[in-house]
Amino acid sequence: MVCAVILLLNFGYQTMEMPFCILKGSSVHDVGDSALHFTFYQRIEICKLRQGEHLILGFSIGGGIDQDPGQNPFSEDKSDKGIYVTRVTPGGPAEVAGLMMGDKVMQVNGWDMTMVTHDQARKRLTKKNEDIVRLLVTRKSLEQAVRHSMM
Amino acid sequence: MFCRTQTTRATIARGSALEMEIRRGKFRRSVFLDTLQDSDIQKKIDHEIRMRDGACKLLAACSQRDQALEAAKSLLTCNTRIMAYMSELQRMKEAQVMQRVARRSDGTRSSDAGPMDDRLPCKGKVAISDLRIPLMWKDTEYFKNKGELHRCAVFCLLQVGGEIHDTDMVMVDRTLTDICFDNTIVFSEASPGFELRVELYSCCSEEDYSAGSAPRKLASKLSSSLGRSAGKKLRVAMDPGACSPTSNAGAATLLLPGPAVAGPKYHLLAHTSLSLSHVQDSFRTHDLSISGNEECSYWVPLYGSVCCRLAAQPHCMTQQMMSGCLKVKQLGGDPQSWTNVYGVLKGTNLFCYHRQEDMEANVEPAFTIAINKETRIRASEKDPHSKAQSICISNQYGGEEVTHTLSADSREETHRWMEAFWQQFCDMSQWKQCCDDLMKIELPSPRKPALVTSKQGSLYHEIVIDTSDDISTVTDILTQRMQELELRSQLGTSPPWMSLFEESPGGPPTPRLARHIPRSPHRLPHSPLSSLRCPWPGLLSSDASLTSDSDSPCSTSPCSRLRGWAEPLSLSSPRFRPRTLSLDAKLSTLRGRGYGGVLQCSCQPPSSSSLAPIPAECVPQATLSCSSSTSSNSSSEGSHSPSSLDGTPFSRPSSARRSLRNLRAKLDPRNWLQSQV
Repeated sequence: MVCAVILLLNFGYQTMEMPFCILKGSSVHDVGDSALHFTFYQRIEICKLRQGEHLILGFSIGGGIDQDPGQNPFSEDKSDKGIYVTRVTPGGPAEVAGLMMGDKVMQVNGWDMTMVTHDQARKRLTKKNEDIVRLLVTRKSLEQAVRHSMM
Repeated sequence: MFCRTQTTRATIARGSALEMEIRRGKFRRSVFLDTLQDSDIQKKIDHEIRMRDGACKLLAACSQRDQALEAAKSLLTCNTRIMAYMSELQRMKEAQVMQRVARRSDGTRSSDAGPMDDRLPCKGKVAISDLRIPLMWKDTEYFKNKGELHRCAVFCLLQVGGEIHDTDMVMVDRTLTDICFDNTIVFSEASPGFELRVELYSCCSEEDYSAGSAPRKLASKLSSSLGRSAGKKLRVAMDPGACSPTSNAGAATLLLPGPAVAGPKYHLLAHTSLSLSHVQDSFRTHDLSISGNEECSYWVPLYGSVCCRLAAQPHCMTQQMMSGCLKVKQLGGDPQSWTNVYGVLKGTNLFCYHRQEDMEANVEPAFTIAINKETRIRASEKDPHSKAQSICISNQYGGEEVTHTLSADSREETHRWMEAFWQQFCDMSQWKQCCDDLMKIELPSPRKPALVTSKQGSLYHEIVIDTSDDISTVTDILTQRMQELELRSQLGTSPPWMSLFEESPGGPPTPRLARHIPRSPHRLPHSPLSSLRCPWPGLLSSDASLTSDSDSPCSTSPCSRLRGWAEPLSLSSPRFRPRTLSLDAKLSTLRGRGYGGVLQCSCQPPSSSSLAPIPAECVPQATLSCSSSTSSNSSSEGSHSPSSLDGTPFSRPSSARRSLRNLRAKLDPRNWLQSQV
């Protein structure tokens, strides 16, 4: 039974990780049928772009535990209060790094983003002393992509 | 060799070598038949072992705390299941051996079925739901604000016989007053004498799980890793009792205990046992036996009880126990008034339909005879009028006794009906209160979205800002006036008080602002203003971003540019103080709505810059970035959200559009805000 598949590829100076999957145990309700779910993550490294006094990443986020999750157009589960990428500026640092609209941001530089307010999330992304942010994101299409590649 | 009465339905092919061997007496058939039941359990054990291996690998591989906790929970559940199956296997082997010994001693094959008058009650479904365990924090702990939150991960393990289920994991910290498990767990084959064991496991979620922990700590963790009750079971299972078959015993020693993995370990915190007497159609509180004390790392202060709803549905209440054609006559009626019905015995009633098709079509039965604790049934002697035996059913309907007489087609039918009634009475006496009324059991749908309780958010976030106060009416009036004025100003006139809302062009930007606001138009690299038909006066103010404190007018050179083709857009100062709802704050926000650099009318696609030139059409929608409103200290934050629109045209409401609705929208926590980073 496959447990954790992590593929690490080195492209020149940039280390890009292929999406990997983690087995997550789930509680069992049906007799005899224990399903372990796959959740696919991707690590994305964004180098902030300096524009005058500002460091920008080039995307917009929505969501947060203080927001109404029912209005999130990207989440599958309408009670998901996580942080989602709502827009990616074309040509911006986020797009270059591979971030896509609809991604759910799970971590930023090691900080958890699944249980934060909207403002906390924004702050964690816009710290002035950080030039690079490393995001851990997940998206539905990743699962399909990996499944396809495994077949 | 085919034997239809064998319940295990094992058959051995005629003419096969095995059959020949059996005929020659070299093997007893029982050896092969019994192993089939074993193989079921063996398969289950193998499945659980695979699951356990998977969980172990996951535990070793994962880095996140909550994944590790989930994996450890799965590991514990798998281990418990394995041990339950192993002990069941053990019991079966012992029973087989006893049987063989008995057979050998009397040399005859014992009958397969028990004596006929030993009636077994039917089985049923038992469901436990809405588990809630109250906690009892000490005052000092509850209000302690310093220090990190001591958190524990807890979950419940529920066991009836061989069926073991676990609930979801819940993180407990001192802000929680109860541990609630939302799962509904259904055990499908429980006998009336069932014992539902509820065990609460907890694990401290702050320990360092690295392998480099002190040997003593590790040793103590490993020794208590399986929990007390599990450890006891382990010892029992490992005990080489009556002869166990070699292969399985060998396997047992290899399996248990499981591989020792570094990682979070759950400990038994409390347990209790529930049985039929606790079954009720409503919530009840039961006592918990707590193991562990305050010194343990996994300690959670429990109040000592558990509330839950324990319901049971015996099969006799939900399934048809007997059906067939009958003739029914009410006593006291015309001796010839027999009615032909199709009777169905289900639950506490005998439903009589005119025809069998009616029952299948769910048509209402012609009449219903109650069969409950107060019913008396007796088989009467041969009725002089008809030759067959008949059954009399007497009920008390409000003081009045009503007797129905049933007659079946043949003696065998009558006998079968009597059997069915006897079985029903046996079931009802065993299941007691469960047979009074059918208890509802709601099966959880597989992917029910979990109801998110706002445990994380504070009450503050729940408060909708009440806008029905005087200030809003004033500002409403003002905005209405502004709207009128827009139209009017398109004709060129503007009343004197409009200047209140207008920043004089060229107003001196404060030094502070100058630092933050890049004024040069090159900030808009790809967004030639010409492409924007909807002017964005707020553009520049957006540069002022989140600094709610910066209330100086922004540079207005672009403003003047905009001015050329949008007269009404009068302002754009990032004056912005959403901290208070005072009148001047509102007015100043009206004056200069700094959008904080991030505005998005999400309802309108970015490409729709083809808004009507009349800004009046552009109604701001709910989603505005409001980082400033939620963080008045954003000015201290490093890089402010920069704002630049990067060439993607947004539809932005004009300045004059900045009605109070914007402010309300911004402050209303019900909107789904978006921020640009």
